[in-house]
Amino acid sequence: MPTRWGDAGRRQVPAVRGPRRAGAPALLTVGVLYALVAATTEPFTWPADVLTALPIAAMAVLAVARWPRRPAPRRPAGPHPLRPWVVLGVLVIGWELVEYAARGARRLHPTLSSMADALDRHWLLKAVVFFCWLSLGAAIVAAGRAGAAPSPGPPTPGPGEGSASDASGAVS
Amino acid sequence: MSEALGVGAWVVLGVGALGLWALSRRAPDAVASPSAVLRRLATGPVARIVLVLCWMWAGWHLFAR
Repeated sequence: MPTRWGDAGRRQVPAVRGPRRAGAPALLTVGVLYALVAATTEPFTWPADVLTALPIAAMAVLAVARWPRRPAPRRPAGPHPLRPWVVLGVLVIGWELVEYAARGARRLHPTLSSMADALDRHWLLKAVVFFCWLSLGAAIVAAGRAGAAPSPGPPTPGPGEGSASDASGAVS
Repeated sequence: MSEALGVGAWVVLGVGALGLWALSRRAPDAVASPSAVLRRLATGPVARIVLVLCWMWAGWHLFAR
């Protein structure tokens, strides 16, 4: 028999998810338009500074406001599933340093920055790169929220209604 | 030759990233998905700060300065 709290919990799921799903296209549109405008700016100018600083400031505010103060690290299942990515990351950083320190024209020793600069010469490509950067920021904010301790769920029913919650919801 | 090496290495690393992503879909216990990697980084007490700072620096470096 569903409890009063159980009914409330079931109703909350669509109520919370609905607006988020409805807001996703709007957020996507804003992101695309923002990237298209930001791509028109030239580096080392104040419009570029402002249009880049705004998402950075937004990220700082969102991280402070939405992330748990003491996160619970979310480790993926498996023995060492992160190891291949760590190896790839070390290789990327190592090659970046090798190319950066190499003598000769940058064309002969491209770095991630120089390749990004080449893309940025084209307005639409720069807009795509900017949008990817914004999307990564949004993904980071969303991923950080996963570190919140699991919700304890609905309040424990009173005596005689049975025990619906267990200790698994009390991870700190 | 040197230019081919420089660009080729980046291509190999990019293909490697795509390969890991494909592997993560087939064997998630062996290779974490990119989203799982991001989630792990974003929920580490120190790693999340480093991650955010790297993201901020990347944007500033690529688009502003």
